[in-house]
Amino acid sequence: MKPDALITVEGATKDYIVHAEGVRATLRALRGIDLTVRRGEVLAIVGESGCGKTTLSRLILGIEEPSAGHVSLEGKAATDYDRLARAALIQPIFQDPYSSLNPRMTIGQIIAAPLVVRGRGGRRERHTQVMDAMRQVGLAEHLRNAYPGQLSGGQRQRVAIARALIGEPEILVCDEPTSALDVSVQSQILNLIAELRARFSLTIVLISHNLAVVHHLADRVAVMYLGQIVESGPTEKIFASPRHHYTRALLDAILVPEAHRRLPRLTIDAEFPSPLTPPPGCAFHPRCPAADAVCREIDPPPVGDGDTRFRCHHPLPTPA
Amino acid sequence: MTLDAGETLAVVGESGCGKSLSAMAITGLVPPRAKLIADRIALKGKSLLGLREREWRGIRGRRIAVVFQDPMTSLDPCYTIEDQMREIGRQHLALDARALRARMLDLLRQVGISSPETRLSQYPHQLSGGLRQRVMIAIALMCEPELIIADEPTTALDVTIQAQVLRLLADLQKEHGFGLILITHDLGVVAGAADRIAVMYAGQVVESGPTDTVLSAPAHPYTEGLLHSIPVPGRTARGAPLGFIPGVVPRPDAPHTACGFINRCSRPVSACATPIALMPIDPAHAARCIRPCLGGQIVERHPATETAA
Repeated sequence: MKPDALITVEGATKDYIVHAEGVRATLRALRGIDLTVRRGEVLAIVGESGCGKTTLSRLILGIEEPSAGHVSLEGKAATDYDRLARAALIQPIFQDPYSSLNPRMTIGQIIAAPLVVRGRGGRRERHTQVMDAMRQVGLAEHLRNAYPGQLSGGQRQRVAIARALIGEPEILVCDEPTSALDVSVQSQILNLIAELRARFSLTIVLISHNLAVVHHLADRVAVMYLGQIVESGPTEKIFASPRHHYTRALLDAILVPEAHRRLPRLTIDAEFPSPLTPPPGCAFHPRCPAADAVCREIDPPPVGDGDTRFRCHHPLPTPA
Repeated sequence: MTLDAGETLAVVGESGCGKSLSAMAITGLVPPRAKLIADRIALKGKSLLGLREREWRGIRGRRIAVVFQDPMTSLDPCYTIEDQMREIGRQHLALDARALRARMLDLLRQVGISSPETRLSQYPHQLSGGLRQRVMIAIALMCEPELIIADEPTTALDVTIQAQVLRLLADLQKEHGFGLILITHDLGVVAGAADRIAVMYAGQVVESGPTDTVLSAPAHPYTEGLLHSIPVPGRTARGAPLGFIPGVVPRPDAPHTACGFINRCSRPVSACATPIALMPIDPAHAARCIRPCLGGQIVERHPATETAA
């Protein structure tokens, strides 16, 4: 384990038993994930739906155990923590603030809940902490007695953030934190996450399909495809000179609100294969413009290139 | 709003701004409890107001087709793709069974489906999201409509598929010449895909104009605020605070006694406390604002005289 590694994932595999068209089958959602998240960094996990990014986040949160391999937080297996100890270290923020808040609790009760379950502080002390947390995330004081149904989407996401932060965790796992929000509200939440990260030296795992958001917030990026990390490295480097053809396609697909833009013509066409029957060899070969006979047979191992790693037999050239 | 033949108009706005309702009003499909009041809604000069159900049948699906956001809920899960395509064809086209099947296969090929015979016999759940949306587009094209309304057609799709579906719509438009109304909340989708934009806020069009003009020189403070709040790799400084629009959208039942944006505006004046008309800036560009931004400068306009003009 590297000294600054806060989260370490080694050879993690996750299988689910599913029933597809009446037949029992094994769905391998993760296929040998190696990943390190360093203390204080924002690591983004990107990829399309079904690539396994949410499964990976559930392993990191200790909600699920890997079928093989290890996930450790501060050197200790994520599932070896008891629930309260783990919750003091790592907290999730989910995509949909409409379903992640109990509609029958007031905002004050929701934010105080982590303190209550831990039996921390008296009534008055908790009240002060809730008020502090609400101020930090920009919620007006009077909303303490409101119910989630009375709040806008942006306000609800602020409640979720306040609840996550009140126990002073070190790690936040944000799963698509803004994709359920309107555009004019998204940026406020992104600003808040950036501000809180700096103030509390948080380590953040950001799961997103929005590469513009990832570029804005993340220090490092891991690109997932069909249960594998196909490329990882510093954000600037990945965006400037991706080595994997899938990363290139994701970057080409970013639609930017600028004048005189044309719709991108992607170099990949076929669709995402079923994770039940991953293609042999490199899982990306059916969509890859550079695929040849080798790619159809041999799964490329990850190769290092300074601080970036990628899995490809025919990587894109680095700029001279 | 107006749309020329073969043109793409993007109707942009946040949830609840009325963008879908406005577009669906063209088809006469408003919720049962809603009352549609309009001075004029016309397709190629023929009024669509007060049509009888029988008259609508010759228009919906035939002259105006709609592609919805979620193809899983707009395709019937109990019927094969062939059943659903045939239903539209039988309703509107005078083709015998063999010619109709040939037409279906041709359309599926046109929307980029590689094994159309197989797909025809499959059910919606057997297709991926991207394929289902391609089938929806093929069904929309069945009767060579003059207008296609696409309501968030790519919102439910993955990013790489989104770009392909938008590209497909643009290519098909070039070939078939239909007018396209693209309803979206995503200004990035608009940039490459639309000729003109209408930005909606709280039930009104607040700015309209050519895409490049509106994106590069937004006149209305709402449009400006939206554009500043979106991170753009290479343009926005990484990690620096993004722009944002303070406050929240007014409730839909709030009375229209002032500019709808007044409470969130960065430059309101007392004159904004009356309803503001959509006023032209130049023949192609208009904004519902008495202090629009023109050429980088805030310009004062007088509501009364401008409205009368």
